[in-house]
Amino acid sequence: MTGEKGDLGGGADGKHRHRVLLIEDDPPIRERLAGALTAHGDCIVAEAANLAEARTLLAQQPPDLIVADLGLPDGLAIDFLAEARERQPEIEILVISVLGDETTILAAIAAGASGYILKDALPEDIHSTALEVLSGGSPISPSIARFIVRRARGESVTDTPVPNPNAPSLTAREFDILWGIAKGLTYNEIADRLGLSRHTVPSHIKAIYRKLQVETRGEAVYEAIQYGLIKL
Amino acid sequence: MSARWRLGLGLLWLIVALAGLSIVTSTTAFSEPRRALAIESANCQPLNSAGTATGSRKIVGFPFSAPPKMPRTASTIRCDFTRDFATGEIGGAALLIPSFADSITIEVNGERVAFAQLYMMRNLRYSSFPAFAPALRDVLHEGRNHFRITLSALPGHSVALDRVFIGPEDELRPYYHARWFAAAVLPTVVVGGEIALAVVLALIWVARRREAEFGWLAATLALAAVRGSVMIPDFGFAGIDLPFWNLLAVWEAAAGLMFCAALARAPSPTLRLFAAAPLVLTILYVLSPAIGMIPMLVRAAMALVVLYLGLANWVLIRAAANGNRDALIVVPGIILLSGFVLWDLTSILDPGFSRVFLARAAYSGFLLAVAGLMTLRFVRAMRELDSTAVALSVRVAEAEAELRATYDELRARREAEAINRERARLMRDLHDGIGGELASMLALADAPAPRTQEIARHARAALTDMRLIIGSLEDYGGDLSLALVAWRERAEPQLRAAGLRLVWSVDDVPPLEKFGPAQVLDVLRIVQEAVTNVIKHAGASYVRIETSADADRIAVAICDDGADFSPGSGGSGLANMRMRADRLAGRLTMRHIGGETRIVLDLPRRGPASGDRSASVP
Repeated sequence: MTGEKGDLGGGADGKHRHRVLLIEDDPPIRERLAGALTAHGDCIVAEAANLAEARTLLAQQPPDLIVADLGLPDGLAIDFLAEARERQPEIEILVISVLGDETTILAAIAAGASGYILKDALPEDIHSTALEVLSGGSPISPSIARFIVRRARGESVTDTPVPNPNAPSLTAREFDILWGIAKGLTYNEIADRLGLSRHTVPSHIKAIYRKLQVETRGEAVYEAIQYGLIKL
Repeated sequence: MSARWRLGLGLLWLIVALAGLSIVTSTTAFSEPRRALAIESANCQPLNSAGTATGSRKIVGFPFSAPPKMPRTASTIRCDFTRDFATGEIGGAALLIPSFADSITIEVNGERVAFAQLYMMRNLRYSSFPAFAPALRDVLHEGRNHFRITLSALPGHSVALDRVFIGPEDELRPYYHARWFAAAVLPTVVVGGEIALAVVLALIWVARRREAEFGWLAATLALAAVRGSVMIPDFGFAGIDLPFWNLLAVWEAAAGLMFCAALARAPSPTLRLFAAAPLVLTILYVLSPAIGMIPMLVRAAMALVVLYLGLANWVLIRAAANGNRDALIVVPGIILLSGFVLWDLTSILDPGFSRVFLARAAYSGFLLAVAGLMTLRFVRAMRELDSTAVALSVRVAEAEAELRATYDELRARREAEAINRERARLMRDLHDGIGGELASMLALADAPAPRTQEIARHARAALTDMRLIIGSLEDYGGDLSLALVAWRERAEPQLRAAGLRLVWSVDDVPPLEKFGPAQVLDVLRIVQEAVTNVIKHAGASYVRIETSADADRIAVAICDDGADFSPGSGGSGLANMRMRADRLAGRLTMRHIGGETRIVLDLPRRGPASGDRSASVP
């Protein structure tokens, strides 16, 4: 256990501080991420190098956000993250990824994450992504949006040529929003085009993530990840 | 059993059937009651047309025939004879004359009991009929009875009388029936058959024009039917006792000859010439001014018929000898027919007492042979069809298997090629990008004073490139804007870190054809290279990415407000970009207008004209 960084407790300046549980086995990266998260003084980070430590920390104090690498020395974090979300439904999850490729996205969605952070992301970006999630946003990227749309349409994202029976049942509006994101539109532009309020777009995206988390677990790719056939 | 044996056996059966048919026909036609019932002779006397005797009485033996004394006058002859009857014989007594010419009157004890005339029914068939007088008990009495038979013939005809049979009606009647059947019924039945078969053969011929034999046989049969039908009028050629239709026999024989020639595959021009002869004869017949010429023409016609039959036999036999099976099968039939025709002709030429023509009956034999031939042909055709179908299906299956094998091989090779090409591409991409960066990092880290900033820069570049490669492997469906958006995700933080603003003017553009991973990577690398150059050298405040499209081109522009990008400053980078643009069949241009540097990549919507197409398959 590596303990906590940043100010302990509720914070001397009276600001509410977010509790973040950071699970990453590579010390330099962990330090870099922790540094980025605590730099603005609005996050308290508990660091864990493996699942066992993470379990202990989770039991001690429930965090607002978990930032986790999926492949850890003592196993995949997917089940752990799902458990955490089950116990504490309002918890937010971000997955740490090297490449942000399709497999990682799928695994992240299966774990119930609302997005991912690239290991080499700029510190400001790491911090802002975490805060966006914590403030109820969904930092969905065009890649994720496109991935979801294609999967939901039954197009194969892997090599399975058959239409996916577990393809999420998204509404037409959700499709439109995802497509707008995939096309690189901002929330404002999407809201304007679809005649929505700007603030309803993130909640739509949250709803999409929730739907997907359930359905992704039936995916062949997900099983392959579980059995270690695909390395994260 | 070999085909030769089968043919031989079939032929044997045919010959047996034909022989049997001819024997049955002949015996039916010419069988007589027992001789004990016959009146062998009579006391005869010629008469003139007024009925008075013109010559002396003399005993004449039956059967007899008397040629006309003078061609222009009718001849009449009267014969008397007696017969004794016992009481028991009178009840069932009858009188039968198997044949006569031309008309006959039978009187018993001065009472006329029968009158018959061959021409009464327009006997177009030119044959003689039997006369039968049953139920004589009313005119007969015990003891000696007088019989008188008066015969008369048309001018130029012979008077003829067969034996006269008097006896029990039950015994004589079957003979009368048999003779009637042979002379009147059988020809009628055969005519019906001829008509039916003519129609069938004509239909076959219409469907299969190249089998001329069917056409000729149909013609032959149709002519025979017309000649044999008693219902067809004479078109006013009356006055001549030989009906015009009998001349059709020549046409018929000519058509028959052509049939045999076609069957023997020997339709020589000479034969055609022979077939033209009936026309001359017919014209002469129609135009003939003198009645006296008619018998001469009829004889000429007969001669022609004999000639044609002979030719037909010769043609067929020769063909059969040369191994023509069709001819071989028809030969027995035509020989049989020829025999009967000759028989009939002699009975016309010889002014004999009996003219029961059997050629028509024998026709059925001939037709039997033809039917055998047709059946054989049909069977042969079916067998050929079957074997053709089998051979075809076998060949189709073979071709299919071959095609499938070829296709599988081709596909396997294509797949292997695609994989190899893709592998080569990935290797090249990794080598160009990440490999170089890693090598640089290693060199920098191994240096006596490691330059961490530069190591970090190279590491970032390596990661960026790796993400580019991974990003390029995704399926964008040819949508350039989607690929650019994916790139933007990764590039934006990089630009932000460099203090540059990213202005995003990417509009939806129509999909590009053949826009696969290799193409995506080339486009993204061009954009990345351009942006990297801006970061490194230009000192700009913003980078703007634009897309535009027209009917057949799509353009991506990377614009910045930095210093003029001189070719010398980024030499190898620019060369790299040009090389990639060429690979995309696109055009790369760089301009500096109004304080803005503008690098434009112009791409054809149809994609690269040739090159590694399979690499573009996602």
